[in-house]
Amino acid sequence: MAHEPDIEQFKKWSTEQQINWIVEHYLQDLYWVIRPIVKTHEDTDDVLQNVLLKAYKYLPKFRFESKLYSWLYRISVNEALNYIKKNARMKAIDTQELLIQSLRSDPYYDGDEMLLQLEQILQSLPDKQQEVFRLKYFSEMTYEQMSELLGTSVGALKASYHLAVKKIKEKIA
Amino acid sequence: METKHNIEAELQKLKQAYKIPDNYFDNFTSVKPKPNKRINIQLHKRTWAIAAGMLLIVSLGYKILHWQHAEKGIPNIPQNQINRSQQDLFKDISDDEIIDYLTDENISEQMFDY
Repeated sequence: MAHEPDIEQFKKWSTEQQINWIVEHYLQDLYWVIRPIVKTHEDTDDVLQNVLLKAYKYLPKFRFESKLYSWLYRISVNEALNYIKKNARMKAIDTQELLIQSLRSDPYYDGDEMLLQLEQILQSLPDKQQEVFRLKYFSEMTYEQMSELLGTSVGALKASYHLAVKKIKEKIA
Repeated sequence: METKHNIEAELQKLKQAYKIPDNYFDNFTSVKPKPNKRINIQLHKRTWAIAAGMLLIVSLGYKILHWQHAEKGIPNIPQNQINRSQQDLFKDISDDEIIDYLTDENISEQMFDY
């Protein structure tokens, strides 16, 4: 996970300079927050643009009461979830079905049937457990980093993870 | 039955299956974030749909009004055209001829036939 900027210095920059800094330091991290939610590269690119637009609009009002990355993480997750809900609504299908269909047809997805099955099972987990998996396997965070980001204890995160693995084992067996 | 180790191994492969176009991050341009064209198109679509709907309602209303007038046998001619047609009717006729014209019983009906 990328480091936080020097806040006092950051506040003095123009919004454009701030966005440039964010793109330079957080772009990949934010990409890997969004991609496991929306699945395809094209949709991730769209959502990433939306996130940066929102950041551009609301950075002047951001009070730095939380860490910059935490704020951007939250915007990214919300934008991604809204994006898939909107797409599912437009196509009048279930979000889970939409996501698996997207993966099957995505030229930038290289997974086999086993991985697709795993994706389907992960989609069926509660939101919190899905979030832990995304942060562990896509954002490659430690439990300590997850705890700081989500405001949840390390113990609770580990318990959440192990419960989820147990459910996955049951569904795959 | 899958062991925990096998599931972990599969989970490690999750991210590897997601590919990214070459140089995507290097070529990413967002010095000033550009408006998302898809969002704008959707907004425009909505605006156009509302405008089209309103136009439809107005034209339907006009059609209904026109139909009602036709049903009642009322000529649907704007007032200024009625006035103009009356003026044209009498343009090249002298005052004496107008009086004769008005009293001519054969013509009187035609004057009011629009």
